[in-house]
Amino acid sequence: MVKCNVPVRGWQSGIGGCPNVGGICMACTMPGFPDKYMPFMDEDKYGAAAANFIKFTYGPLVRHFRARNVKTKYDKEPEWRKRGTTLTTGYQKRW
Amino acid sequence: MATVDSTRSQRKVGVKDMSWDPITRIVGSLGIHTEIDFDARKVNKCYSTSMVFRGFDIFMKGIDPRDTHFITSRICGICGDNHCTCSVLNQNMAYGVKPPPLGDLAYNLAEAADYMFDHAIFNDCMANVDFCEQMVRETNPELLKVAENTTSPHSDLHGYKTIADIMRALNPFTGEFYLETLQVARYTREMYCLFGGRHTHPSTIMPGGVSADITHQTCTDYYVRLMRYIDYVKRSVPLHDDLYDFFLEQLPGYDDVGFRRTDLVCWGAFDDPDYVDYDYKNMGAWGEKRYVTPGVVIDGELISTDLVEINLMIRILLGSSYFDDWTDEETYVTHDPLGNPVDKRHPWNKTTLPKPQKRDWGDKYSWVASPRIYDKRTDTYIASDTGGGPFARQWVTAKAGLVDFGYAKATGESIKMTLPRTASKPEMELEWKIPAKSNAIERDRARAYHEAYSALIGLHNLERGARRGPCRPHQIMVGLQGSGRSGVLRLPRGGQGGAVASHGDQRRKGGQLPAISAHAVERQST
Repeated sequence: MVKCNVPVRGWQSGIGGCPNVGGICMACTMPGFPDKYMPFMDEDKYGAAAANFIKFTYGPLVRHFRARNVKTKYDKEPEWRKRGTTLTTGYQKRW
Repeated sequence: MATVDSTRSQRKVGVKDMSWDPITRIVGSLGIHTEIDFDARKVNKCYSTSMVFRGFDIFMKGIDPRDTHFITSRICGICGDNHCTCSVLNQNMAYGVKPPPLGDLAYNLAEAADYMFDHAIFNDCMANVDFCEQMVRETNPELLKVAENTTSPHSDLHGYKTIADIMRALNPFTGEFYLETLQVARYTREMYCLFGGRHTHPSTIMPGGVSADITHQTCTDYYVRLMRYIDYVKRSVPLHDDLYDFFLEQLPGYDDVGFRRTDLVCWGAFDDPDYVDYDYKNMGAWGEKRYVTPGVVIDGELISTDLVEINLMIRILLGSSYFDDWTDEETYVTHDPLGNPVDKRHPWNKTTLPKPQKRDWGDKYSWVASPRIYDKRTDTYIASDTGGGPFARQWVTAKAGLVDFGYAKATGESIKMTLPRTASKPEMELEWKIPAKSNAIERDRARAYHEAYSALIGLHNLERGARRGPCRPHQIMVGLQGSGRSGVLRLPRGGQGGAVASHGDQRRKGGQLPAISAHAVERQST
């Protein structure tokens, strides 16, 4: 819940930026800083709940369809790519 | 008061009030108000003030102590990261946590980058404005003529033929060296950001270590920029030497500009992870292992290098500041963990009671209190200065002769430095000797040499860190222990001592952090 472009633009010439190097965000760009965000070092109150909600709803859905697509589509070579003397790619010679 | 008596034939100024307020070169709006007798060429009265509020510890009351370093860093837009690091060292001592070695090294690397940044930009973009061609032409055209005809002794090292060329290179916004320093300021800040995330309000410097993901890439990125900086320093130091020597030679009496008795205080900086255990009881021992030796100097004599002793010598006097006395308030610490008595005027026992009021030159006229060093031998309060930072750091380090890490060695009279080979220059030896006087020029010169010194500390620590390989030097701290601990660290332009005092059931509610602002020290002492 913080509006800040530092993760995108870095801090100095594109280098740094709190979350980019492993720092915490303390919402210093927000008008509510610091009072509404203290204590900075504590986890967000609803953070775990929100993460768990996603973990058991959106997460399984994404996992299911991703696994299905991988299995049925992406984990297979295209059918024209097979051993043998006949060319099955659909390429037609012009000579 | 001002008597300006001007007749056509003879312009007479007489005694006049002169004010400079704010002096924006000094962060924190320094103001100088004087009464000058132009006939006698004498300054009758002089007051230094600051109208920027001091007393950040008020904001610390009642907050989670783990947040203190994030808040203290907001005290300043230049040296905030030093306030942050100092607060983190305080917390390490208060919680009794010892970061893994790479954590200590990462503190050092970040701080070294900041020192490099700050000394470069302060010397060339702020202090040397006094010596640039534009300024000299306006204030002392005769001197410029001499400078045009004086070849610089080290022109082979820095490439500027005459002293006037150096002065031109330092012209603000147009000078070549000035502009280069601005670029240097950029990449040294990049170096800081690699470890700190942001400069000057870092987000990764934490009690128990640095939360940055330190990989070989981080170290390489740092190393590349560091070597570029060392290349720059090889030109910067001889350039400044030539310029300052010229001023001292050509203007007799210039060594009295900013001259004061050599009363210095230095808290030391850059802990050695092999020795530092963040235990107050051993503070004297690990303090002396710092890469910058702590010390108190009174009248040119090194009194002590023991951090415990130095800590107990600090007193905060009210001076002319807008604060009420705290003698009736609670005494937080009567004895330190070693059993030494702690004075009521020690920062550990300070309660900040601000009282804004009208400026009155006879009474109170500034937000800056008066930190002093108490000399029990003579029962006096010494206005020890930090020499703008590097001067005290190098003076004490050189005199104590405790530091020897290969690239630099303190000899008791000087610091010998060896700058390794870089892209455009071969290996180079530098030696900073303890000057006879503490004056403006020597403070500036010390800063130029400290660019080299902090770069070498960075290089040494980087080599130590890179040998260790990547790891996550992050510890989560639980609860607090102890009664009152302090950490002291040098800021680039001054000194800072901070203390987290937490006691009894107040533990989780947080303690207090009476921090002497770096500017408070500076303001009072320079």
